Amino acid sequence: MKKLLKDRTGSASIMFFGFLFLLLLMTFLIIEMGATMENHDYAVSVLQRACNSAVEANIMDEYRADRVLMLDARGADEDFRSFVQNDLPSKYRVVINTVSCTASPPSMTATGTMTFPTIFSQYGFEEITVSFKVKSTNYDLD
Amino acid sequence: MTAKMKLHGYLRSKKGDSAVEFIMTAAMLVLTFAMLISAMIYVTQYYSASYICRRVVRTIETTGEYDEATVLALADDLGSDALDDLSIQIDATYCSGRRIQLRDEFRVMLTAEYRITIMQFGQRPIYVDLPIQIRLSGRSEVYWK
Repeated sequence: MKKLLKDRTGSASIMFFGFLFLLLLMTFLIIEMGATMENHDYAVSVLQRACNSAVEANIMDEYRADRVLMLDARGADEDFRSFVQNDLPSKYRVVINTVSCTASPPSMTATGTMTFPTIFSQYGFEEITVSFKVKSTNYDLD
Repeated sequence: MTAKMKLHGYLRSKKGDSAVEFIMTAAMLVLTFAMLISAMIYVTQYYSASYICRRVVRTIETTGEYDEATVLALADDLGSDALDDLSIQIDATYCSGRRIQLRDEFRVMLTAEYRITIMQFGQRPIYVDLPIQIRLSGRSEVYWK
């Protein structure tokens, strides 16, 4: 064993495979991290869109005609949950913890967690769970 | 006959075998390294194109309308000049002009090419054009009365 460890024959080949392993590891990390960030950003933008749309869709027009902004809080809450369920692809699992709305000014804040798989999760890597918080306030009188 | 024997002896000589092994391994290592670096650059360019596409989608979502000049200016600001032949196509149903009604879906397709130069002999490089195609969809957040 000692003789084998001291033998310098083929040391360049071993160094070559060592470098190759490091480079492949870096490539793997770049692909995995890039895809994870992309998935996370996509989910956050869909959640933010759902929040904005829920507020925009539930401004009560009878008040807006008098230049007063009032939100139908219950409708906004229901719409937000419905938009999130319809818009996010099935690979995402979203748990909405709280949805709080204020009628005037029309505002909504939602918190929760989302879980999604990574590219290499099929090889035993765990799914990623991150918390989210989205907020929307509407001041549009037109 | 003597020359043949000399060549035979030269080929069987073990002197300098480590140097030859090192040169061959180093050449392979450099080649593999260059290929992996090119692959990593392509992957990062793909993510960059994907980011540009997502920003375009968010801009249309928040404004509720498609303005070609704004979209091209945004892509330009985000460094689209690193990509060749970049084009952005929008597929949407407009309620009036270029306006998209609240919750109506639209699709954005970004196509581009990323050129990897393999070798350059004088003025004529040998290159490979790798395609990049991103398809995303969004929904308008603006209610048009």
